Amino acid sequence: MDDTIVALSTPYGESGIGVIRLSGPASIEIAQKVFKSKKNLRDVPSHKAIFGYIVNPKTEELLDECLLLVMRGPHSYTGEDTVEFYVHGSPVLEELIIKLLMELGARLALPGEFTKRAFLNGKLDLSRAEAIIDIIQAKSEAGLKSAFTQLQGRLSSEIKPLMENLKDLIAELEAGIDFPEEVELSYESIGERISSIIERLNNLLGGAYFTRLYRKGIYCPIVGRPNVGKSSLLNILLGEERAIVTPIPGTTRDTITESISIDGIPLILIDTAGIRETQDLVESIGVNRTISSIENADIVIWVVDVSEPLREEDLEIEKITRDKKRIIALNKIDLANRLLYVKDLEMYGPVVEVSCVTGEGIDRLRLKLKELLVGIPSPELVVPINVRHEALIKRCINRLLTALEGINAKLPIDIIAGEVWESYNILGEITGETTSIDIVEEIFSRFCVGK
Amino acid sequence: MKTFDVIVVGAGHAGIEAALSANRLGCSVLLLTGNLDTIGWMPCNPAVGGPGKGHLVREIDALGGEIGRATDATYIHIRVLNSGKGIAVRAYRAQVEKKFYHIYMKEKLENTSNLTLRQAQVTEVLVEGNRVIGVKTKTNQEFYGKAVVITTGTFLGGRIFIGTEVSYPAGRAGEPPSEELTQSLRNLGFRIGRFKTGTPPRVDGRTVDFSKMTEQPPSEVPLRFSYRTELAEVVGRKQLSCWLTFTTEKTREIVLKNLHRAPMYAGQITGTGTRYCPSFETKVVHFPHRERHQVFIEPEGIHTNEMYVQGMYTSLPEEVQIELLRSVPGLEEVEIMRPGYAIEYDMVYPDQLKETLETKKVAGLFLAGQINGTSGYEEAAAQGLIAGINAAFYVQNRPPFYLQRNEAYIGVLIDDLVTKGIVEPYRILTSRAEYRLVLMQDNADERLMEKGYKIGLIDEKTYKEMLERKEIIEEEIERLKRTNIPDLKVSAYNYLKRPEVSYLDLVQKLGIETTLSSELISRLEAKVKYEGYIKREEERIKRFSQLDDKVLPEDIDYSSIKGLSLEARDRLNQVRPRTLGQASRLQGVSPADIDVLLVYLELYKREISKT
Ligand SMILES: Cc1cc2nc3c(=O)[nH]c(=O)nc-3n(C[C@H](O)[C@H](O)[C@H](O)COP(=O)(O)OP(=O)(O)OC[C@H]3O[C@@H](n4cnc5c(N)ncnc54)[C@H](O)[C@@H]3O)c2cc1C
Ligand SMILES: Nc1nc2c(ncn2[C@@H]2O[C@H](COP(=O)(O)OP(=O)(O)OP(=O)(O)O)[C@@H](O)[C@H]2O)c(=O)[nH]1
Ligand SMILES: [Mg+2]
Repeated sequence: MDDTIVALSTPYGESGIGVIRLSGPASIEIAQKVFKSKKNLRDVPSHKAIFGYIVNPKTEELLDECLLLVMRGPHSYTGEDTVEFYVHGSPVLEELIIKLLMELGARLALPGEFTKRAFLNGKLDLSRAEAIIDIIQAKSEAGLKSAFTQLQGRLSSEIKPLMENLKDLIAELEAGIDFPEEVELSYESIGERISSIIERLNNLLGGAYFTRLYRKGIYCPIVGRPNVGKSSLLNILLGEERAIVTPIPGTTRDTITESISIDGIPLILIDTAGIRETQDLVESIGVNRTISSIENADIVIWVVDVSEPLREEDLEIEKITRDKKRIIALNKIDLANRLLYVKDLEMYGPVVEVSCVTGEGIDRLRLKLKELLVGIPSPELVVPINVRHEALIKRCINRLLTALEGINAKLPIDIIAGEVWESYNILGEITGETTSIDIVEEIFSRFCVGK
Repeated sequence: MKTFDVIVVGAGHAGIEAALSANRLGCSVLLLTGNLDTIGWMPCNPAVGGPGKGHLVREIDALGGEIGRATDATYIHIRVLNSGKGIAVRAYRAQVEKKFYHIYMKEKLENTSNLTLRQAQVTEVLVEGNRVIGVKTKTNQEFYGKAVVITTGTFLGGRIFIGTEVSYPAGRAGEPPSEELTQSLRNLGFRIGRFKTGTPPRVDGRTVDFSKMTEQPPSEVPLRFSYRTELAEVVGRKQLSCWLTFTTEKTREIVLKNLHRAPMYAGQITGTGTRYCPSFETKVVHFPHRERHQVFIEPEGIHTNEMYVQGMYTSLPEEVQIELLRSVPGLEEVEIMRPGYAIEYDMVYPDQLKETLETKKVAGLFLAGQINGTSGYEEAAAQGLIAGINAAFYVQNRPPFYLQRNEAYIGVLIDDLVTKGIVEPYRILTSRAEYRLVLMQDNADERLMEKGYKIGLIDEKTYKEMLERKEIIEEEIERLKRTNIPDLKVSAYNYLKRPEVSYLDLVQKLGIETTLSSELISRLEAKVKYEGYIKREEERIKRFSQLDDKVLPEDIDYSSIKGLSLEARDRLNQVRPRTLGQASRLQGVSPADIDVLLVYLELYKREISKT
């Protein structure tokens, strides 16, 4: 019980406030790393709410403002040092914060673990003991079940061969150590094997990114100068009159979000306020939102009006969307007074000519969108990974990287073997298998050793 | 009739250590053995040490045992294994002069006062209630003792096999088995298993052509296992080489042609064999793609031409054995002096023992050595030592003595025996030790000598010498921390941490004097280079050893604890572990079961404090 655990202690889902609880010897130290306020948490009084901000110490990114409560052991629910964060109740945000706390050394609590600690630290009376045993039992059953479903699951089937590889490697290292006269080891081949395992783990981490994309959808704002036809494009892609369309520039003041599906991939379309310098306060807020929606974008549709020349503002938009995957919709091709052509814009990316009035080119636009999404693997190919798995895989990669550095520095095998064992055990936590290897079994089934 | 404090049955490697340690702790000891001429006999390779095993020897020595001293006194070849693979797994391996080793041990036992040595075949353990009171021999003699340690090796129900046609009862080649004792143990309620092992043929060194083999020279640096061996005793020791050759395609063919004549393949031997001691026929069958196998030719003594053929243990008929050997380069003209053989024997499943090696069923009865399912001299000696100490403490009403997994390979060995179900002969390996980096062969004295001194097995002088060595190293480390490397802006201490830098390089670079012996230099290097890793290992130990400190109440009834899985309940009731740590290592006990036990322990504690 000398590790520090973390979990959301309010029900998961959208709610007013979420409480994230840290318990264990390092909880204050970990909280201090993410919590920005005038006070140092080591000195604040117990059980007093403090206002501050949660900031990712590595990226300096502000995650949320929050209230925080330090409760020093033994005067806390668990009897250990405990910190509670009261944050805005959004699942995405809560997940982010918990992930951050895990990166800083906390471990995700098992169901009932706070209560178990409370009991073991003498905080609960005897009448609760039975209830706790029930929780533990339920937990082990649930654990078995989830271990079972996971076993069937894709992540496990990806992890298992990696564990097999690690097991082979450990057996080889150990055979080389315990039977030095019979088994020879080569640093080079060990290094190569470790590198290839790291590479595969990194691929799995990529899966974590795609998992998130699928869960929240692909974020695709439609941007452009006022009056180029962004709202019209949203409506036609949606197949319904969702956004207001007028000939007056600056019609759309706030963002409108709607999702469509392109071949099973959820695409979230956002109609935005046209970007221009404006004195109008409401409009300028809208413009700011547009800019921030571009920052969060996975793909951008940039709409340009063929009947007008490229203006300063167009080029501005070009600049802020340059780092994004983008499609240029050259709109209003039904008009007679055409000034712009594909060749004028193709240097900025793929261009599709469309008309939101006649519907011409819309199918081609859909096709182009799909092509851009092709880089994103289809859902069957994505291995789903949750926060816990991601943290474990990262830890595993770190241990293997240390081993690899050791190989390069020609550190002795006994030290390198230790790192490889650790990385194996970490992966075992994902599949939920018993983590100990019958190493004797491995050595003797793979190597011909002994008198 | 006189009642001894401790009776030890069997003067093999376990029995010797048991008798000597109990005696050194002040007990009157009777040592009964089947044959006084084979005390401390090495029926297999007369080799001591190697990874894991060398660690054990050092640990036994640090607790006052004899195996290290005897090896130093009689070795005819010694070298360092794993020198490039890391300080934690580096180990010595020696070949001893087989006869001299026996003579050394016999002389030692004979000249120890308050120790009575007698040739006798024990047939029965005498018990009153659930307490041992003595033993009975084949010649109807009864001997009484307050504690009894049984160390009968491969002798219980032993049966030798050479090919499918030849098989006869024997404790090992040339000695009768112990036929009755197994039944006596069965009658006491012990579960008995049957294991097997074997040994290769011995050949006449004059018929070996060494020019076709690679020489394996001994170490030129004088080495010693024991902290109590004077350097002068090993300096200039006359040593012999070992020799390496390889089997050929022809060897394989001979095996495959004769497979039906191997009792293991013909189904005659049913006992469980060791995987790390595979017969040559097993190697050929299991590793069909391996073109050749290593064969080491090793000396058995100075006054003999007999040589051991490591790598070619076989139970094939004698006439096939010679054919096999002659297919190996250098052995074309070889003559066998003794054939190889396989042996099957009874063993007692060691989960019936406490970690003191006392049986759970019969108070005062201890088992040690191969009878517990292990294989190897060092493994036997380690258990003998622990059983001897605890037999003495049992008699003297002193608290039991045991070692944790993070303190010693001895702790790993015994914990494995009493918690993991042993299903095949057990041999120590460094990979069995989860805290390997802190358990070096080199630092066994620092780990254990203080304990040995406190319980009375290490004398003042030896203990003081250990403290001195420690101090010298620490002083030198301090000096290195204070000294800077001129052109590099690092301390000499940090410079030495670099993998490619040795202490001698450093001394040369700095142009300073050193008086450290080569042994102390390697200790110093270990301390400096492994400092960070050892720290991390110690943190792990702290994290994981908490469960080992939680003692389970002796009267605990696992069937009445709600929430335990059925499997855990059965296994816990059967093994009755002493600590929660042991419980967690039992097969079938899950982390959830351990949680339940934690809660139970807390309940129990509160109930006790209420009354
Ligand atoms: C054929 C063979 C092959 C082996 N191969 C290997 C190997 O490859 N690797 C390895 O590490 N080890 C090997 N060993 C094992 C090694 O020899 C033993 O593990 C070790 O000697 C066991 O020590 P011990 O003290 O338990 O028993 P032992 O050394 O066998 O000593 C037993 C002693 O008990 C005495 N005794 C037996 N019964 C009685 C009785 N009823 N009354 C009185 N005295 C009795 C005997 O006379 C003997 O002195 C082998 C042994 C044999 C026989
Ligand atoms: N001829 C023609 N007119 C179009 C087309 N697309 C949009 N329009 C017209 O252009 C005007 C502006 O359209 P909106 O869709 O409101 O443009 P917007 O980009 O959303 O404008 P803001 O919200 O003001 O930034 C409307 O009068 C539309 O009818 C098109 O393809 N062809
Ligand atoms: Mg609009």
